[in-house]
Amino acid sequence: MVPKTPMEIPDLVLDFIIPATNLAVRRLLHGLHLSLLSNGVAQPDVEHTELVLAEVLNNIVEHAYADRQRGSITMSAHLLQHALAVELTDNGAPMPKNHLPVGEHISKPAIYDLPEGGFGLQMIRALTEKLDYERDGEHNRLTIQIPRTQGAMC
Amino acid sequence: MKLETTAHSDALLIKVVEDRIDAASCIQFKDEMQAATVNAPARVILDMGQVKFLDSSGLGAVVAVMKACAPDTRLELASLTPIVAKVFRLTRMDEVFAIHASAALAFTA
Repeated sequence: MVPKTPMEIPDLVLDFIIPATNLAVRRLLHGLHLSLLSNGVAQPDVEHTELVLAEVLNNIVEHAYADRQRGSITMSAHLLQHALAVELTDNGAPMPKNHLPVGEHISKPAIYDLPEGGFGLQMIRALTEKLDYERDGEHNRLTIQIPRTQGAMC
Repeated sequence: MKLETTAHSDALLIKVVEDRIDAASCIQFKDEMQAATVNAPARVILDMGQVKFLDSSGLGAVVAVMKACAPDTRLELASLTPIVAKVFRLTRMDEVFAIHASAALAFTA
């Protein structure tokens, strides 16, 4: 068995810089989806990754850049043997109190009380094994690790 | 956003003819669904078999349509693809919606 090294060399590195818009997010996700599939990542893992990244990217567009006309998002994704490690940075507003909000668990509420938002963080937390946020000067930096559950080659 | 509606005797079938309901398309989806469900019968079956991606914005739109339809019309779902079914499971919205394996099965329910 190969010992785990702290600086594993990724099988694939994907870097993106996009304007902070919903359509640019959609195009990035489409490109990432195809790249991961063609690099042997199993379909369910690709779909989980697309979902997690959609949620974090949408949050940046809708919250970090909520009051601004322009902004950009930088994303670097490293495909490792057992996970996809992703770093996202933006120059938008910081998270409230400089911390990730705690995901509220939605129990089965009455129909009129059903929330129409707040589902994103719940899904992010469920599908990631590592999630760190840091405010660095004028930047937000989010590091995420999404596990590969199937087909990782050893 | 393309929706195909078919009127049945006691239900309206709406098929989403789109690959994704996401942050870029959820407002259009919500508006068109609300227009399509005006004066709807007691049941509306939403066939999502072609939808391969639904994010939390899309889920929020489906929930909003369901709330707008209630109490006279019940919005039910059919043919969820695996990742879309997972979104409903992870957020426990699978406990809130009636979900049918296929549109055909929804009509025998």
